[in-house]
Amino acid sequence: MLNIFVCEDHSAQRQMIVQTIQNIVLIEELDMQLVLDTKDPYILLEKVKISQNTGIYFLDIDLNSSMNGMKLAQQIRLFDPRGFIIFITAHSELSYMTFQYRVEAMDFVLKDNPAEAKVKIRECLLHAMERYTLQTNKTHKVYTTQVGGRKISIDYNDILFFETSTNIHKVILHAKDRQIEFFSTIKELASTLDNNFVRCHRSFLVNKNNIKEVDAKNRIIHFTNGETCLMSTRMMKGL
Amino acid sequence: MLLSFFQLSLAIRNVWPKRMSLKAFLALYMLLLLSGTPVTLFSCIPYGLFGILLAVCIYGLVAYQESASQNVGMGMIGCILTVVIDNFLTIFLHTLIPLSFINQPSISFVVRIVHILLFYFITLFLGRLLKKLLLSGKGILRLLQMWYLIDAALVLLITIYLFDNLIPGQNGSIAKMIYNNVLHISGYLLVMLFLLLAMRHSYLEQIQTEAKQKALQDLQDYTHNLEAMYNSLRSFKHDYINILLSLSGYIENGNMEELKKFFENKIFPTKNLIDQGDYKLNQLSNIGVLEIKSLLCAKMIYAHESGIDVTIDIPERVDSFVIDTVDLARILGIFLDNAIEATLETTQPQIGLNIIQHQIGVAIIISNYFRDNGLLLHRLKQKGFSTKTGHQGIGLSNAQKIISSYDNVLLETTMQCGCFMQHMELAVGKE
Repeated sequence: MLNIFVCEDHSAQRQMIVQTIQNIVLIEELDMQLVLDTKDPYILLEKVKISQNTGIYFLDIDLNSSMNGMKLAQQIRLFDPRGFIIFITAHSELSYMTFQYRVEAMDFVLKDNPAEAKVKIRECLLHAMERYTLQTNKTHKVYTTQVGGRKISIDYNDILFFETSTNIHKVILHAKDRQIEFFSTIKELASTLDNNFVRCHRSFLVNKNNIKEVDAKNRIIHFTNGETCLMSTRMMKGL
Repeated sequence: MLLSFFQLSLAIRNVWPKRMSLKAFLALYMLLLLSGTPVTLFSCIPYGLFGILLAVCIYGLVAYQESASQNVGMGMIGCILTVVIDNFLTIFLHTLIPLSFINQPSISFVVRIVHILLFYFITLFLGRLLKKLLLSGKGILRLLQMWYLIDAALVLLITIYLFDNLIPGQNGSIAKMIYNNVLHISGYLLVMLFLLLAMRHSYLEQIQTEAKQKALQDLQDYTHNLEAMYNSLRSFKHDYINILLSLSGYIENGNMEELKKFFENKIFPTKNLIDQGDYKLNQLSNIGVLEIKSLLCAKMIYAHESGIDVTIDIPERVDSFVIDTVDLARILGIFLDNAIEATLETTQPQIGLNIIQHQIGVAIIISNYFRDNGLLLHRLKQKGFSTKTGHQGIGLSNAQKIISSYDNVLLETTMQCGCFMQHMELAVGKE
């Protein structure tokens, strides 16, 4: 069960949002309930503190209060780290990326156009539901690391290999469609990850599950996305 | 004799800027032998020394045209290295092994071999070190003015050589000769060092003036843009008053139907005016570093003028970017140019720039939509790969190189759902 919270200072707009949400939950038969709609962020925060379930939060950014939507979202994150935060706003110049960075906001609904906003709210609810079921059913492992000011989580299955950077302090994670640098060493990683990760070269730690082909003659490993890395004869037997 | 020249060419090979093939190595060896033969055969040392240096110079010039100055410079360093290390090794081995042993032929052979091996490894190690020191990024041998330095070095060398002959009493006592030579060589080294430092200084200054000039130019563009923005704002204000007046006219008459029509047709569309691209640039005022601000502004104006939907979000003031601004400007320039070019291929070009200040540093996120034609991320990052024909494809790999020279900069590249994203984290405190 997901709890839905709405915080919006403009009462007419709040009514509209609440009505939209209730209709969608009813029509789509979603496993959700509207717990609270309020204009006061402090009331909402109190409620979040005692709430047990994961929440979906629709927040206005400008709340006419000492606490704005961004700060409220940051507070919510402390109590509900896995909740889904969606901002509803007229501030079209505030872009989505910043919110995603700061509080891992899930989406961003612009209220400039009411018809579009309704469609967007529906999308958000469905998306949240999908992600929630995925999370709860999840059995595979996730690798989490700190990069700068944020945490990055990547599914073990998505990792192809780790590579040492030319800079001795950094390691580069190669995933299917992303490359991430972070501070660590191959040795450290090899001891924290599971048996699927094998050291095949002084500067590579590969995920066995994502290897497409091992070219033992030229000592090259081919991965499922076409990327390649080297292996050394000495460490070859681990594969 | 053959052996000592072999050592010389070995040392030069080890300090050579590029990898030297066996053929090139043999050619060098032959050349050195040719120029060096007179030294030993006719024992005319002065000619021979210059001959060898000359041979190295010629070889360096001919071998790789594009890095000729580096070749010559490194070749000379190789010569010096050979003499110093060879002497050092000889002394070292002699002190280690008693003289009576060395005279036995079998042991002397082993000592020779050890000598050459040691020589090889020491030059290899020093060569790597020197290459890293002199040839990397801002290394002294990368400078264009390298030629002047070599010229100056040669002229100085010749002067000292001539001067040497003029001083009387040279042939008298050995002590005096040594004294004179030490004086000359140390003087020579001092002058060279001074020259080197002066050159480096002037070069760095030149780079900085260029960067400043560029920043100034960009800043002018920024000012022009601000003026244009202000003008359009003024005209909007003027329009706004007119709109209010006509609104009040309809209201006074109580003509609701007309009012509704007027509102829908005339007033509601003005909301598009408000969030038009021009007004987005104002967020750049949150950047306190002039060079970066002007660069970003220039690129964003260019993107906007090319018809790209530009989103800029810099919610808080950023006064320092932690790393060298010239380096950062280079990286950002590369990323933004790439983003603009890639997104122009799509039907709805769109780029985003976010700069977020947080407790432990600054995050810079550049994102763009691109036309997905099955291009793979790791191919993009390779040096020499370019989507455009006739381009070198060094942009991204250069940026990568700069980033990896910093311990406190982390880069994340993502290519998902048609969106390409470069996310840089600049952390404070970890130098």
